[in-house]
Amino acid sequence: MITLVLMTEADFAAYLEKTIPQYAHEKVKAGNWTEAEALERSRKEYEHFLPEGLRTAGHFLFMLVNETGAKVGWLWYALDPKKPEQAFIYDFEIYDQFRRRGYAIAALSALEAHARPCGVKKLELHVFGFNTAARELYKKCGYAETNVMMAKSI
Amino acid sequence: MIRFEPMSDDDFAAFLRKSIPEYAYDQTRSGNWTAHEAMGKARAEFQQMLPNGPQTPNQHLRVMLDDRGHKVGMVWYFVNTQRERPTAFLIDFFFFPEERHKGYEAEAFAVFEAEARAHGVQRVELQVFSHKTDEVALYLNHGYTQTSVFFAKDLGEADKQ
Repeated sequence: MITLVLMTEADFAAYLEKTIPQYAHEKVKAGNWTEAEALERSRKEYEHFLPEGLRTAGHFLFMLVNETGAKVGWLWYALDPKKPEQAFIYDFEIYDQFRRRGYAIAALSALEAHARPCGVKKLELHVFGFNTAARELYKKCGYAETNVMMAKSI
Repeated sequence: MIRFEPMSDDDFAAFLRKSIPEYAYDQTRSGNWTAHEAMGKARAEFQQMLPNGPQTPNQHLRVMLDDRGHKVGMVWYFVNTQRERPTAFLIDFFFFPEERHKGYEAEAFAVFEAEARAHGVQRVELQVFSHKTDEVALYLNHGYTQTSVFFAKDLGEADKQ
């Protein structure tokens, strides 16, 4: 059982501290950014998408809370301002120590229950190609692959 | 031997006749556009990216020729030198139906990559619709790796899993 609880300012600060370097690292691993530029570009992307932080219109930043009240991860999604019936999952993570307990599936189902009353008819998301576990999870939860970005160093 | 030549105006017209409807179909098939809006949107995107046709700066439109000078396919790529690592975006790469499976692929990639390197490019990126499994396989076979995958789920029915 997972409940979506809106992040507090303290949650949000802790979230950014962890996720900005993590996203930078993943972009380098995927080959999109160089090591030198990654942290700065990551910080800028977060500022770009969340100019008003937690109060950015159309964006929902949740802590994922389990049945004992423990915070087990986070989920960030936003309504598409151009297509109100669509939403994009920007970030979703279950902390390492809480994995393999069915929380990811429960969280995605809680997300759908939150999104439907907001008028969302379609959820979209992005996964790094190397993240095979996440790809399997989304397939299992009824998501279909739409497109793939590929790259090669020459 | 495969070589590239810039598209002529006739080649470009033929390219648009093939690629615009195909792109419209693919965007519809992957659920991004409705069938009703697809052709208009596809046309608008091509127009926006290629306002001066084959002469648009940084856009490279090529015809692939075999050793007899026979046209076997087409390539479209865009070069972005503003990135820290100059990047070519391979937008379209295809052989005409009767020219497929003749073993031209490896040579064509080599010609493309050599041409891109001559523009200072160090990295090639591209996007493939997931339903085009032959294309995904082609790129995987030629050293391309999957960097990002996009997923979507229709919430139309509450019980749909």
